[in-house]
Amino acid sequence: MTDKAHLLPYAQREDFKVGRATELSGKDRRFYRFLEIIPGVASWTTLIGVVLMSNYAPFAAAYFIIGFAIYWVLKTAFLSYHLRYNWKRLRHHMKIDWQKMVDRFEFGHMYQMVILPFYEEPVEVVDATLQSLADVNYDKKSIIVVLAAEERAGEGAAAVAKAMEEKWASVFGKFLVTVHPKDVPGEMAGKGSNATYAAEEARKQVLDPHGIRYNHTLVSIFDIDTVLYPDYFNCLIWHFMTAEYPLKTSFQPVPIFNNNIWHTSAFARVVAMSSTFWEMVQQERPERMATFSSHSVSFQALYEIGYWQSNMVSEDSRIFWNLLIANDGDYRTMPLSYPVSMDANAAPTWWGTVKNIYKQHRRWTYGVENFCYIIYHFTKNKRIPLRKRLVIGFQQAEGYWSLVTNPIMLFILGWAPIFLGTQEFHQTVLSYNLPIMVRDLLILAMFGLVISSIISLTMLPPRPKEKSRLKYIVLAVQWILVPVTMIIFSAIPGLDSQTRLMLGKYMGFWVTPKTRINT
Amino acid sequence: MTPTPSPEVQPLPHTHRRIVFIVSLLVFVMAVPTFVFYAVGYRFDFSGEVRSIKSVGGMYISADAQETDIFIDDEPVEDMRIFQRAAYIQNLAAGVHRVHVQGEGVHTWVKELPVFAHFVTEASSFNMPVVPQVRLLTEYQNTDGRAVLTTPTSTSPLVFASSSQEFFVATSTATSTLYDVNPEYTYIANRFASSTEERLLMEAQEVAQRKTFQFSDEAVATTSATTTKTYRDTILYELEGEVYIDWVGQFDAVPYYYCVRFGTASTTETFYGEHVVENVVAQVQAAFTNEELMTESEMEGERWCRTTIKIDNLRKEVEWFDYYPNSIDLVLMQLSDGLYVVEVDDRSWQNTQLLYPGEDIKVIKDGDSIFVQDGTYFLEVFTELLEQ
Repeated sequence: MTDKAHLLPYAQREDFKVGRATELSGKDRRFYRFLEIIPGVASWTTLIGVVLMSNYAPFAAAYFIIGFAIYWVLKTAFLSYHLRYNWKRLRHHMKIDWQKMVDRFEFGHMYQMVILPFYEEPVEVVDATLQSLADVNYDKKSIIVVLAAEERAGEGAAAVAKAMEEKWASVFGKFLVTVHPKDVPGEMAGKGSNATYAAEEARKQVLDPHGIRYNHTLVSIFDIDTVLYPDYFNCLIWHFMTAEYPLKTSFQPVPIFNNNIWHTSAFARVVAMSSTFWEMVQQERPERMATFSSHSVSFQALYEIGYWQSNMVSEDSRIFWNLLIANDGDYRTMPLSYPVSMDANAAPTWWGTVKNIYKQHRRWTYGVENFCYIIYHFTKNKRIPLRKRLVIGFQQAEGYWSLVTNPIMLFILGWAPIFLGTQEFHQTVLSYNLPIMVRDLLILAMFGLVISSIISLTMLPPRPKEKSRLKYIVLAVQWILVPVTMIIFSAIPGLDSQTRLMLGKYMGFWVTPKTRINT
Repeated sequence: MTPTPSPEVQPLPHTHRRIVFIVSLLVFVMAVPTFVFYAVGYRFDFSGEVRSIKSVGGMYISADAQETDIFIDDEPVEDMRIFQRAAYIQNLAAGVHRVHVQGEGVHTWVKELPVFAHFVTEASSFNMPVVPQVRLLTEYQNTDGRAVLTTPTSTSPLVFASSSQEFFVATSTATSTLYDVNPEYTYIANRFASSTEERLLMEAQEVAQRKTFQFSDEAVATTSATTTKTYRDTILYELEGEVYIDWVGQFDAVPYYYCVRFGTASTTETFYGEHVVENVVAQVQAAFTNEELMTESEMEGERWCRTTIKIDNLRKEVEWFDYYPNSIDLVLMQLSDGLYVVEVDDRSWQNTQLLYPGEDIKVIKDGDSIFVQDGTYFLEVFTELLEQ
């Protein structure tokens, strides 16, 4: 898109959609590179610092670890409070008759554009998503489906797109198949570039020819395994119509990774539900919220910034920061507290699943690239209120730092002074009390998992007939795996991502395989 | 006008979140110093008329023997860990505490140990069977592998010991044709034979060394170790009829019982025993030159370690000694009246427990096993109670 006249003033900057330091030059490049190094250095310094402190200053390390364990207990209680509240709200929202709720509004002029980027996913995955779309309580003729295929996926993807078009085109107001060309210079092969291409094609082929106004079009970008609940669009339109600044707002549902939850491993289930719970917690503190995975936003807002970035990995959250910065801070995310169902990670083998989860979470935690982007533009766009810049900057820095360091410090390094401390330290009451105290505090914190366990059981889809009722016990007890999953699928991939960014070994987009295992 | 429908559950109000956050922050600010003070060893004392903060210490007692109970000042200790037979006892006032570990059928281990405020005193107990637990090695065994007794007798040869072994009593004297030779018996018999040769050789060397030193220098004639054994950074040796163990590893890795925490000279003697204080002071002072000789008062308030500990021989002649299997904390000593297990930890005193009685026995250690030759019998001696 060479014509930038339609873009917001700040979005017209050459560096607005910078993806990495190498795309800049001079001072900006050096500054951006410095920002890329900071998260990794901070995390490594912390972890190594705790080890060194345990060795050379074990008393100070022990005091720090006790304080940190207390902080963790309180943080767990604080987050559990948010989680429980959102669970109540989610359940209530699922019971509401949203059709009745939106009757008071005149929204016949509104269109729902659904962009479904896909790569090599099997036809049954795509078909299930379109089936759920066809089952929603909403006027289907107001729904524009954009099935966004990738040329690099080859004949198979083209055949899936063609079959789906033949099957579903008549159901919706418009069914557009786009094929994102491969090897476009300056682009990273991934969801962002595909979605951007699809949105622009939809504008040219559907919106403009039919005179559909951009501010009357709500775009929902869904992962291809997203299964909608029937009232999603009614819930969305209600929030859109009641929002104070609907065109300056993104709408975030709760992604529940439970489509295949009965057929995945315990690790995959815990990780999937943990991701869902984190999003539920965020729903109750929207000022900290960025978009994640499937979400909705007005076409107008997207058009004003040139859609999603095509040159980076975590486009789903970056689009929010693009919008916030381009709108001089006057942009927000509104939680819907209404679910969309997606697939938990599943591969044909247990080890394959573990590898996929790791890679998926490494991609998610590579969202740390947003930290560089945010801080870089916060120093450039002085129209964003300073307080907002400081608060967001701190929240982002703390978030990425704690994601990596907290689980490792708590579950591994908490015992470091005992193994690394001096003889003098080993003779003290403190040395003996430290592991007991940390253990007891962690057990206390684990009570938060009881809440997680109960909530997770209420969010399960119906039990398949071939699955025993005893499986419920497994599903309840599986939460004891959390300390392991936090380290293996959160802290370590996070550290992996930050280290890659720190070293300038930039990641590409890894597509999570969507496989339905029916055993 | 009809009321506007809206979701009944509103988002979590910001004020609620702020209140929860502030309360959490206050709890954190109050909890951290409280927990740290507790962890360090401060306790709020409600017992006295005047409430005060007192300092406490602790003890860490490990007990390898199964089915034993730990007592401190005659009070049983409840906190026994599952996977390791050890207990960490908190909230002990500073001062000397009596610890004993006892169990049915085993010797009682007793020690008086000092506890200092904010510090933990470690100790490791051992409890040998009161009745020797043995297995008889016979020259022959039947096809089932059962030991064959070739000396018909109406009473068991193990009248003073306990064994779960089943014997097959031979009714014929033609054992070599009827039964298999027990290879273990042959092996152990050979080991004892070579052990005797070794002993004779070493005794001859000892005599020769004494003669050599008597001629050259009377002052050092009796200061040369004879038998020396090494294991895990320690040396176990006999010198002038006494057995000593030296720590020769890294000084910062020295086992806890080589070290003492000095109070005043009198309290330290009360805490650890005069012999320990003299030993530590002598070794610490020996490390300094005469000009910088350290006095006991200068050693106060610090933890001092020595590298040599004498093993208690009950003022009896030491006939044989070795490390207890897989341990540098215990020593096997054959004295004039039997085989003993003696602990190296000499704080307050060294516990000495009889493992196998007998004035005319020979002992060897083969790997992790202890064997005794008692008259014509070869016996394996166990350090734990056998299941009957």
